[in-house]
Amino acid sequence: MQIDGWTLALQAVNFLILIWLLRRFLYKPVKEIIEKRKALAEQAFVESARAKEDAEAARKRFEDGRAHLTQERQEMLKKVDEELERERGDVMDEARRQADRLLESARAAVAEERQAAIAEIRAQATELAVDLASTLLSKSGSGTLNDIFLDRIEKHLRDLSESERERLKNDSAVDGAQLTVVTATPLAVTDQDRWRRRLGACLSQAERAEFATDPDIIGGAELRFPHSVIKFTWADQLEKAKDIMSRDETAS
Amino acid sequence: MVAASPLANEVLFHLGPVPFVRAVVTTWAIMAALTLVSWLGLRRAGVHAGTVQTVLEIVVEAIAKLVGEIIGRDSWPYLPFLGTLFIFLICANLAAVVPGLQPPTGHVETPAVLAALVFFSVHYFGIRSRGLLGYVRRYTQPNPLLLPLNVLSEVTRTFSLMVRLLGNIMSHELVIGIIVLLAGLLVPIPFMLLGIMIGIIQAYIFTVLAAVFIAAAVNSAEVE
Amino acid sequence: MTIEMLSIIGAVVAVSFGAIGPAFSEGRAIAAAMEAIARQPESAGPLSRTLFVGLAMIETMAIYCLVIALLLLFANPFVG
Repeated sequence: MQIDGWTLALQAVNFLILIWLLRRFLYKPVKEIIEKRKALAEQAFVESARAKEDAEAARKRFEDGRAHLTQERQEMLKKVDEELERERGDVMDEARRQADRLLESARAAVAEERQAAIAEIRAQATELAVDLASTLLSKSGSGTLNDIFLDRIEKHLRDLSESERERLKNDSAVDGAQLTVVTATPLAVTDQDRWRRRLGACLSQAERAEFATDPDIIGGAELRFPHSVIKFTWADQLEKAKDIMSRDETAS
Repeated sequence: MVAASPLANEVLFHLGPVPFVRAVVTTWAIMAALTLVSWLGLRRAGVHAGTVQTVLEIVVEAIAKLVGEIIGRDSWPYLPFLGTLFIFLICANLAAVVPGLQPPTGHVETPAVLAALVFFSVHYFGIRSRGLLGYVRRYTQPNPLLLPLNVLSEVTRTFSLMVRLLGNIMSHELVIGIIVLLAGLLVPIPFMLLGIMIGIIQAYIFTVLAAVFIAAAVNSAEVE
Repeated sequence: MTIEMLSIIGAVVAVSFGAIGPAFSEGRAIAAAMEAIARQPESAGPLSRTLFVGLAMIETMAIYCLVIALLLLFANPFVG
């Protein structure tokens, strides 16, 4: 068996060349393709992961939005409820107030009417009483009554303070001044003298006093000075009583 | 002696002093065919593979997977050598299927060259991955006394690699020849089928053993 | 007895006796593989692949003997 050296060398070179050729034409392209595929798969994986992340984020956003919307809706509902409640309360208050006011005014009107009715009745009663009294008094007017008034006038004049008296005196001291004594019924001459005498004791010019009658005063007497009047008449008294009565009404 | 020895080389032509035997020419044909197929298949290599490209990819990936399982690390640095070894051996062993061709591995030179390349590549990969000192220390590894045995085993395993391949292919050719001589038509066909299986198995064994040797040279760094 | 005759005898002896050991071991390997496949039919694929490789390795022994025989017959260094 002979081993040919040339053939050995040729085969060795052949095999090395084949290694190079296959490396150039087979292994490298296949490796590149595999790496490209791997990169693509990696990319696809990354993309899918990102897509998943995006989807997750979108879902989260959506849920957030939904929650937000729900919350907003609830808030709005609450607000509307509150508003309604408030409005209702307002309306109720207003209605109550109005009703109160109506009631109040009605009550006030009723009270006023009653007051007015009472006042009217009282006024009528007073009127009636005064009328009654004045008719009674005018019917029963007599000298004794006049004397009572005379006493009272006298007493009044006597009780006047010095300055007052002085003022009255001056008042009547003016020339042509006349003190007029007015009575309801004409006094008898004797009586007139008695009045002049008694009044003159207190007031000097009373001695020249004239007498007049005025049925309106019902009873009693009035001393009419030029600038002032001293009244001691039934009419005046009744007027005063009426005044007091009506004042009592208003006070009550 | 028999005139046509099965061990003798058939010289096809001479170019100057260089004799070109049949095995060399067959190897050229195999190289051309492999390169052509690869170039055509991967000329427009894309992510969406065509038929030929898919087949080539499957072949390469299967070899890469096998080598990676044996070596236990990234197989790409070793793939050009081991993969080419496997593909070339398959083609060479099955050359007899094509009428008129004889397997180059049936003569002593080609298996010898391949075994010698395996021998050198083991040292090359070992030194490249561990450095010269670390690689040399491997031979004294269990015990410095075993150094001669380790060196001897390097030689004997290379020789056995060569003889295994050569003997299988050559003896098979011889057997086919004898059977043809005895029975003639049709009878050799089952033996030819057996020859295909033997060729594939021998290519597989050769590649696996080469990978195991390289793995032992490369990986004992981690065993240390 | 010439060297040629001795070479032929040597080749015959090498092949015949060299075939005994591998034949026996191949039989045992196949028997073991069959047993394993019968027990675990689902692992028939890897088992048969390993079996073929193992058979090839064992057969290599016989091939060595065959190579020796061929060397004796066709490339005898002691003959002319």
